[in-house]
Amino acid sequence: MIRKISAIATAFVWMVAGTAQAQDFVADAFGMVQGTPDPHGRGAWAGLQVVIDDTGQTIGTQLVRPELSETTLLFSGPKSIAAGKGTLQVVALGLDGFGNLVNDGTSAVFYFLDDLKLPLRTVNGIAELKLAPDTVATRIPVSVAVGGVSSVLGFYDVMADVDTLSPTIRPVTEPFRINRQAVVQSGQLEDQYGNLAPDGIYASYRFEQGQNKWTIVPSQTVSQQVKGTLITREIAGDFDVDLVLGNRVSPQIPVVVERPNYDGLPGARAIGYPDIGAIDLVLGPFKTTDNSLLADGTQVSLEIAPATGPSYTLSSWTVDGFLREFVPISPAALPIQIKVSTLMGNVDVDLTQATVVAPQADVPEDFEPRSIK
Amino acid sequence: MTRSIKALIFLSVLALISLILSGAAALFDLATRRSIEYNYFSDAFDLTVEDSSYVNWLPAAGPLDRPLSEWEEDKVGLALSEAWRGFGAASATGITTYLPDSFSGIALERARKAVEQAQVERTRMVVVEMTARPIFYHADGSLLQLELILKTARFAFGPDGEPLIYGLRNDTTLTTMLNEPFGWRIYSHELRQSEEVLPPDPIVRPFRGRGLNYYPSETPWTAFWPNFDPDIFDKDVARMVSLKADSVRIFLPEADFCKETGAENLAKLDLLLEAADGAGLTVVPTLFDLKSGYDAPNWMADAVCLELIFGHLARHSNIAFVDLKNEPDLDFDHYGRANVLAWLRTMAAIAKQSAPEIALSVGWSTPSVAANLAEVVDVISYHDYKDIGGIGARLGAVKATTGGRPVVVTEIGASSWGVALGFPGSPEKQAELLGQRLKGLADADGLYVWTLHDFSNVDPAAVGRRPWIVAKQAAFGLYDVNGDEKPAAGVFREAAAE
Repeated sequence: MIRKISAIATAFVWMVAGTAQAQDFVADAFGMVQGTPDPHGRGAWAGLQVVIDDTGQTIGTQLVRPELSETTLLFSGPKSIAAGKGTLQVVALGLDGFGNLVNDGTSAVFYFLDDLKLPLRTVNGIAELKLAPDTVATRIPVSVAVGGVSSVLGFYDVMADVDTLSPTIRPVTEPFRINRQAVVQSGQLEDQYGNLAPDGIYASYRFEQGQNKWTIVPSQTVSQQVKGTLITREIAGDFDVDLVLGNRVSPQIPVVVERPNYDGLPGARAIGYPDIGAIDLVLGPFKTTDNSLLADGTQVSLEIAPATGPSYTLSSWTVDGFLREFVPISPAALPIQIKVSTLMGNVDVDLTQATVVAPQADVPEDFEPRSIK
Repeated sequence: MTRSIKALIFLSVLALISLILSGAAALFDLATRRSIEYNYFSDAFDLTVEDSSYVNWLPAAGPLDRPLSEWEEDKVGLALSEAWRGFGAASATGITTYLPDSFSGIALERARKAVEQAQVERTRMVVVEMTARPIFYHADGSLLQLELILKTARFAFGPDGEPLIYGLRNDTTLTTMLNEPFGWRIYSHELRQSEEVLPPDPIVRPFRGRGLNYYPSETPWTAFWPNFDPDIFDKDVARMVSLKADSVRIFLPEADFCKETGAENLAKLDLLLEAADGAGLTVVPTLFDLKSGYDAPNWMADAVCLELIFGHLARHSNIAFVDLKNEPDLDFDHYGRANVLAWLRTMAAIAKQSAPEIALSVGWSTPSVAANLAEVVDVISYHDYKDIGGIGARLGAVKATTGGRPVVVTEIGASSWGVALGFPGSPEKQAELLGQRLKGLADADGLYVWTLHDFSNVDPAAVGRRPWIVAKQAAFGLYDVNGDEKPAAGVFREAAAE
């Protein structure tokens, strides 16, 4: 920190007689020193100094006053503020070359944009200004000069008032398909003064399907809009969708997610293991009328009714458009009819025969017996 | 081999064994002491040991742009407490490593400079109490300005550790704090007013007491308060009354009254004081017994503890006087004479602030130091275990330097076990020695014999582990471990009745 040595002589005002002698001590805010404190150092620390003699008795006090302002610190907050709402507080802390708080009554001029100047005075080194923000969203530069010494330039942002943004959702004209993406988009978001919503404000879409059945899609504002993407995995039907932004909720719009149909029946084949009374059943491909395969992991339920013996039900899922399961049914029980249920509906598939593996054949490595309901 | 040669060999072997045992005990004692020193040093820098705010908050001077919530008061209070505890530690050690945790900007620069000068000029500043009044708080919570009233001890000492000056002041400061990424730190700290805290006029009242130092026979020293049994105390009070005692001196260890169990033990203390009062006994509570040190970071906690204890003591009318600290002169070498005396002066001021009507004393271990702080205390007290010759002269010398304050010898006594000059010790020998001491100190305003009981379990935390010391300490009582009077009891009864 640069000091103005030439100004030191004017820095002190000795209030009470009793300057320190060599054997005396001088107490200050951080302890005490023996003799007269160095006027270029500790002796320049503003505030009270108490002179104590060698018996511990107070023999005088002296007040060190600060020099002229040399540093101005700016504290502006909050860093962003809603248009036309709340209060902006800009605070200046003025310090002299020794770091002392400047004298009370030092001038403090606040500068906004290029033309607005507001003069005030310091108290305890501080000058403060409170402002009501404009209704126009913008970035405003601010600086303060305490005792003629300017602070660095600060900025505060007047933002759209999130509480008055009116969320809407653009209508959806085409139905969505299951196992795809359902993308919904808000209208342009503006506050009551027509300020556009800033990026990064949290918002969420709610897909409501009947009472107490919700899917929430979190999102945020980007380019004054909110986009929501729902993966329509195994969900289908009619939805009411709204957009929640702050304490405001958009009107609901209807959305339909359609289920596809089977594009032909899935095939059925099996490898038989007579010595363990099981078949390695493979069903598929599960083709859809969207000209694609059912997505991996789509649930498939089977109800297997052998000609003799009990029926079995099991659930599994597709991989690469096929389902493969070990079923504890003897190859001798074939032919069997299998009721297949997927999100596309129910179909019956016949399994007439299985390729029989010799008794000594190894059980496949991926064989995992399943519990049969 | 003649019988005399055999006896000589036997005695030589005995002497050798004694020598080995003595050496081993001394080494163990030394190791224990080093361990204690290490713990003390470690504690001095562990600023999270007492993770508390010691700030008393006053309402804001005017409307604030942002009200300071209780949660924020705790945070700021903790930061201020750590700042001044850390500054005290830094001043004492010269280590400034931790200062940036609590100070920033110009305040950090000044704190470092002050520590550097304190080391060179052997000065110290310790903040003991803090009161804060918010005067400005930025609406975004970034800048806080406070008026602080800091009860601050400043002292200096010479090259050999001798105290030079001491002062206790209520400093009013303008303190500006910034809420920085790692919490609140002091950015600017300027002294605006400072008032000297003058010691109050001494309590001038005559004193007369013939009493006993007390621990229960089975649970002395550190075992006393955790195992305090009002029934046992009642029986012991009856014994004291039967001995014609009119006062009892008790000990309040720092660990029992200034830590987590403090409230519980204060309730026990109330029971003890009431029981003593019921039997017509006054009580001399001796505080901060077995104290772990006089480090600057702990003075705030000591002050809080002291205020709590005095709050309780002030409710009782049978407090003869309070012994602020037992034998603090024994800590001079280890903790520094100036430091110990400054701590005592400061605690005396806090005590007087809490309960001005309660007389204060310091229980010096020997008459030669009893004049220390005579101008601060209301009662001069010391212990005299020195040779019987000159015991009266020593009392006279103390009386001559104390400005008319009562002089109380709070510990005298003799053990019925002895290995040296009194060899062999015996209950009869004890009675004889005690009688001589009581007679030699007949002019003392108060006399307290160490102790009511012999002890079957002497606490090594209090007397160390040397076997001959332990054996001697176990046998100072007027009652033996079976609860039977020793001859010394009769000697005391006779002296107390005079």
